[in-house]
Amino acid sequence: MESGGEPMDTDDEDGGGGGGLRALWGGGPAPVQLRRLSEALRGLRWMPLAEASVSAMLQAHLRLSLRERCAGRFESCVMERQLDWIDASVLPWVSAALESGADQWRARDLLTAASAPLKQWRARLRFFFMQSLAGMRIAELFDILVDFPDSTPALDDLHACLHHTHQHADIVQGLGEALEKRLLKPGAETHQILEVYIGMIRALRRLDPSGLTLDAVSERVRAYLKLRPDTVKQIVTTLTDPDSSDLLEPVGGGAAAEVVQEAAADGDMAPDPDESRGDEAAMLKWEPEPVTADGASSGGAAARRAPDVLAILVQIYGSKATFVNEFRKMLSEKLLASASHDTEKEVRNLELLKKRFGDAALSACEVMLTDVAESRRISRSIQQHFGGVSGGGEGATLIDATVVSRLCWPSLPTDTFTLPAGVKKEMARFEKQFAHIKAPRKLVWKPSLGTVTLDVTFPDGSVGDVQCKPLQATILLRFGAQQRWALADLASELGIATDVVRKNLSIWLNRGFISEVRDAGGGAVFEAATSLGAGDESRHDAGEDEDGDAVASLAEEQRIAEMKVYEQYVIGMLTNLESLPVQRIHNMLKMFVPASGGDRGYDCSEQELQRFLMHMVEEAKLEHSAGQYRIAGRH
Amino acid sequence: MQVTVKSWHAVASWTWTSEDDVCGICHMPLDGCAPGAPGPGDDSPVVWGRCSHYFHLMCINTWLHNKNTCPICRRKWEFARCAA
Ligand SMILES: [Zn+2]
Ligand SMILES: [Zn+2]
Repeated sequence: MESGGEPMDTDDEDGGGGGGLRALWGGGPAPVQLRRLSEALRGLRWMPLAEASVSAMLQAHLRLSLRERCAGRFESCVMERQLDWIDASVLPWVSAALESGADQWRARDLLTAASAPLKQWRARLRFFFMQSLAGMRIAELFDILVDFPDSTPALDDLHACLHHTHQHADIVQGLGEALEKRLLKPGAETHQILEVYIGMIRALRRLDPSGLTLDAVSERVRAYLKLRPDTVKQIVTTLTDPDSSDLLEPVGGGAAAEVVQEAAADGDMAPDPDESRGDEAAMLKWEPEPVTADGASSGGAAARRAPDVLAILVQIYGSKATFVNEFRKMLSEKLLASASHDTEKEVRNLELLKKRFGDAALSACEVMLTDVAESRRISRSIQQHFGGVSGGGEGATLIDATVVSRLCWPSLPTDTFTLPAGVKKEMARFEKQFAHIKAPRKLVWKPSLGTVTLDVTFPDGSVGDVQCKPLQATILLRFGAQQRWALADLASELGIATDVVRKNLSIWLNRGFISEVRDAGGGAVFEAATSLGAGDESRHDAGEDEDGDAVASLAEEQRIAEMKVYEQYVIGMLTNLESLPVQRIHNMLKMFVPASGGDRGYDCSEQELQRFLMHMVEEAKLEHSAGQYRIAGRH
Repeated sequence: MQVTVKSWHAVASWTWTSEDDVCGICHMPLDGCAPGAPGPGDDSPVVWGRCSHYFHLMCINTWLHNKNTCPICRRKWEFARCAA
């Protein structure tokens, strides 16, 4: 045992501790007692019994040593060094403990002179070690992904282990659980989730170039992201962020990367051929499936085209067509909610997406932006006609309009209500002038869409530039004209159902501009506030956010406020039925809150409901696990 | 409480005739794209005949290559000067 146990390097010493066992392979010659013991056991033919204990002991020690040395340290490769250490330090001890003097092995003879049983021991120990290392790294995989690419060495170790141990199923399960526990939660911001997901795409591609592990784990991340209302927006933001232009580069690197880049130069960015044939099924497949996820045998896998990160993000929506459709909806919301006709950023984003998906797929979006530009031109010309853009002229109109080519836009709501007389008059003027310019085309107003900016003045102060929806503005204007309104009177005045009035009152109740009082008869009565007081949270800077984020989140807040009327139904259902998936809650609400008369009843989409339920989870009213909602604190 | 409208940004759609009208030749919505046209509206203008029938300009032009009658009433096609 002259050379067998030399320390590998100074901080590796003898295997990193392991208590009493340390002395056993301290590096010196095997203790005389050990050799005597081993000879005695062999004499008694008890060696097979001893082997089992030795094996168990070694495994425990290896595991412990591994944890002490490598847990949480992702920035250097450990596998080769540790395997060398097994050869240099552990095997000589095994040989001393289990083999007769004559057979005893010296480290340098490993490949030539080791006995067959010792070679088996070596194979077993190596396999066990790799399995343990892989197990540890799989348990740490979420952190490894978050640290990627700094954690590349740990990932490469895991990759090497998996080649022998095939623990891919453990990855799918372990990482899936970690994702649910640590990432896919209401408290996480969508852009954070996307960031981790993008890192995960790159890291898992490196770990398993076949892409199957990634696919399997991605499923739940995708399903979750799909429910988030701002995912498309965040993807588009990420895509158009100059710092993340590498999203269009294929993941996985190597030869495959070159192929795609070459192809890209040849115009491979054109729409998917499956898609232009309208072949949904083929589009959904996207990647051919090798037989196993371990990628061990596949020369084919490396040659296969690696999708880029964007392609994988787009898969959140199942197909490019659905993604584009989501993008169109987002664009529509943004364009219609924005009070300005400024589309510079949207035009830039669209150009980027066109490069990627082809002009044809985005032609409707192109028309939408053209509509807005044309509307700006027309509004300006009409305002000039009436005497001044700035509202300075006597006859200047307050109205400007976005006139849409409706067949290119997502379907727009057509609900109507009685607009304020002044606004109606202004609209008529605008309409007449439009017909003049664009004859024979006519305008069809969508009264509920658009954005109104109001100034609200109280005796003790005023709030400027309050942005709201037209119906909300109309309601507040009524309170400006008459301080006190019974809900029913207001509803009939506006020609809409009382619960619609209530939904649209909530923004003003929240801001303290209006408060609810009850009259003697018990009917709901509302009153305008007589002073500004401290009631207003002064959200009047909401519209100034250049990104329109504030407008968007305000709109969402409003939506949630509007849906508040369903809260009691949800709580009632869950009190009775304990736990329900969103789909059943959705169906039951449709049943319990049907349309009747002028009232549209429950008319939310399942996604809106999901958002509302998540909001209730955030408010700790509900709990959510495994796709089921239940009342918080009840099990 | 005094409420003043500072600006009212409204939304409307346009239509040539009414929202459910289709072109009698291509059977696509009149307010949509004529076949092969790059877009709706200015890119797919609609024209009226003296007989008061109306079509996408591109559609009636193609039709008039071979015939000179209105595809609906079979009267001689003459462009009306403006909308019926
Ligand atoms: Zn036509
Ligand atoms: Zn005719």
